Amino acid sequence: MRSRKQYTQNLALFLKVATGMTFIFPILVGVVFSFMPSRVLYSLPTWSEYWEQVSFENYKWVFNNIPVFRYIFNTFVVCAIVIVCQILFSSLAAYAFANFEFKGKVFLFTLIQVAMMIPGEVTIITNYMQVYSWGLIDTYLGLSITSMIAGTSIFMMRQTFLSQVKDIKEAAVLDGCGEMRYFIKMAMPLARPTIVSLILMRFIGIYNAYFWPLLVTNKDTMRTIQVGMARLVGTDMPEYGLILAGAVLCIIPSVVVFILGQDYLVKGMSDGAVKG
Amino acid sequence: MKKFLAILCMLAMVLTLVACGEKQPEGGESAGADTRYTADGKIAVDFWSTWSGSTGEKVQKMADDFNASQDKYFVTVNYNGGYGDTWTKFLAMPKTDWPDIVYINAEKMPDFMYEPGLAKPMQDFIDAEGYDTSNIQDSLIGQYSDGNGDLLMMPMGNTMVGFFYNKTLCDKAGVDPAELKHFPDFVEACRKVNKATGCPTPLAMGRNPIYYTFLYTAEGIKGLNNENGRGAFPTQSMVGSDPLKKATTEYLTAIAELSKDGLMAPFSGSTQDFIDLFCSGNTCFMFFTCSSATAIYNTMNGAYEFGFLPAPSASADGKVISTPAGGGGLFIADNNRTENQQGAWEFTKFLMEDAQTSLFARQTGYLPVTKSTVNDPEYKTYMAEVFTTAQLCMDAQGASDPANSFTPAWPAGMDYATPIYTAIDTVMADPSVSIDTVVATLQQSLQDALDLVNMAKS
Repeated sequence: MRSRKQYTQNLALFLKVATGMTFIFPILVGVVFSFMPSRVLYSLPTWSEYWEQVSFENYKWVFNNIPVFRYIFNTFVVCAIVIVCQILFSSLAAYAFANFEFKGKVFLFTLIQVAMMIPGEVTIITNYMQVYSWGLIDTYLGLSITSMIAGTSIFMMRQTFLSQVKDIKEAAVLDGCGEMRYFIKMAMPLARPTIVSLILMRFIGIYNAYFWPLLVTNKDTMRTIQVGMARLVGTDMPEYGLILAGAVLCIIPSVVVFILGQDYLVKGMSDGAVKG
Repeated sequence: MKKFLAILCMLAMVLTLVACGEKQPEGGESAGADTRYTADGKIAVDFWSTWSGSTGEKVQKMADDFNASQDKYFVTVNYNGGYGDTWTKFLAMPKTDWPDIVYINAEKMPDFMYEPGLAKPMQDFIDAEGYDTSNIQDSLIGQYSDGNGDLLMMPMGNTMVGFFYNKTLCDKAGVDPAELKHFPDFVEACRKVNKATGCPTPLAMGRNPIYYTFLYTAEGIKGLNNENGRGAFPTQSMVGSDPLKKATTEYLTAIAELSKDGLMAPFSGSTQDFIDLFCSGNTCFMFFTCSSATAIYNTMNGAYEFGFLPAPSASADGKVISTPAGGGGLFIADNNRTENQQGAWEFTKFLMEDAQTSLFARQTGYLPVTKSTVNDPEYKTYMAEVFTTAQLCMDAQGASDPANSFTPAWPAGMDYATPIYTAIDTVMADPSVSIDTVVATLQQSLQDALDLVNMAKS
């Protein structure tokens, strides 16, 4: 009986590892091929040819021609601004929606939900013209302003606050705790998994943003990582060696962030799904 | 009271929307006419280049060489994405902030013809100093000029539509690619190659409408009325009447024959997919642009001998009288900054020098835009080792009739590609379909798209 259970567990582990390897295999191939010159990659080298020609020339080219660290720095600054603003504004708005009754509450929340349904492509040019008129081109504020508030964040935080036990708040109020104090001391700490998952989701979204940073930046020193990586793609023929080297450098920060916060991400996604 | 509040709310929303708008400076106002300088006092030239990767590196080198060759102007190369992204950003920007010079694809030529004010014609600069354009390939002059013969853009990327052929397989099959002057000729040639060598899909065609439009243009057929859209804004597709109807029918019939015998590769896939297909010997004739020559040479890695020839005619008996050029060129934005525009012109002239055209052509596989580049020693080596049929292609361009070297000036916003893809896909999926019906559908779809654009314009 015990050996059957052990066998089943081992089989399950093997299947999980195999499935994981299947998903991660393309990334591994990409990493391996990033050490091959582009001209060799066109004709898919054999394993022995690979070891004869492996080199760092792609990485050298990327570091010499693309200011990768500057782009990553800019991306992280924008991520930080967006994440702080989103957490702050959405948690305050969500707390109001979850805990207060006021006129127009349903209408306002419906408006937020309607705004969530508008695709970004529809508003991007008008947003650009507005940002331009405010003189925010080539600024961190211009890069982040359209992402400072998001309907999905308000929605998720609202769900989290709604799912918090009301008895705790009643007890706190009886002890003389005001709304703001309860919000800071109790509600936000209890919403930590949702906040962390929001941070991760927003980080991934901002990190992968391409067209908006391309539009609102003209100076190379203000560009973000995805715009930088686009410079590696040849206009007519893709140079796979360069692209893969750039992609490997590009995904390292997001993989590290994801690994650190993956538990919270899964928990946060499911937390808001069940109300009460 | 409720009604009053509702009206008040609506008014507030409307006023907010109105307040958010702001009048942008019009072109011509003095606010946008100031010369821009670099920190050390040189006249700044903002160059938007769509070239990236190692080609982008070469473009940067060309800009660096120009900057080093004189001390009045300073060119800064700015990458703003591919053609689509660059154009979107350009149009979204206020005119006062437009760059000085932009590299864009040749398909944008109609935009400059139909919307004056986007670009300052190159002809203005040419006339001002009597610049000699005789060294520029004649077919390029035709492609980048408007109906009055004024050069609007300066060619930089000179690609030719034609077909790569696998010489090793052709020799085995006893097929001379140079004899394939008409698209329907490929049916018999593919059958011979397949029989003699076992090549499974001897013919492949990149998924791009140019492998239809350039073929009929090559025999002097117009796709749109009003001089192919160069004399006036086009209002009529010519697919429904001869000679284009005949050419289209014969072109699609050939595709049907090839598909019936399973001799044509799928009409889909990325550029690399097609190159892999060709370089692995699974295709003998690949309709493509010559700009892939360098990539094919690298991928082929000596496995086969190959060459490139200009496009044949679309019809069974058409005579090729021109080789329309594709690729891209430079335009000087009409941003009212006279001094910066002059710097852009000086940079353009620099790029037309043999050393620069040779460097660009060798890096990309494009043909040189000037006739004298063939005298450059490095380009001669490149022709001998990599692009062995380059001279033949350039001779074809040189012999091109400029009056018939321009492809249809498809208006901006007109989806001409989808009807063409649909026609080819239909014939390939069902080779027994009535070709007349497919041609009629193609004509109707193109006409509908054209009517839509004309309606929007009016």
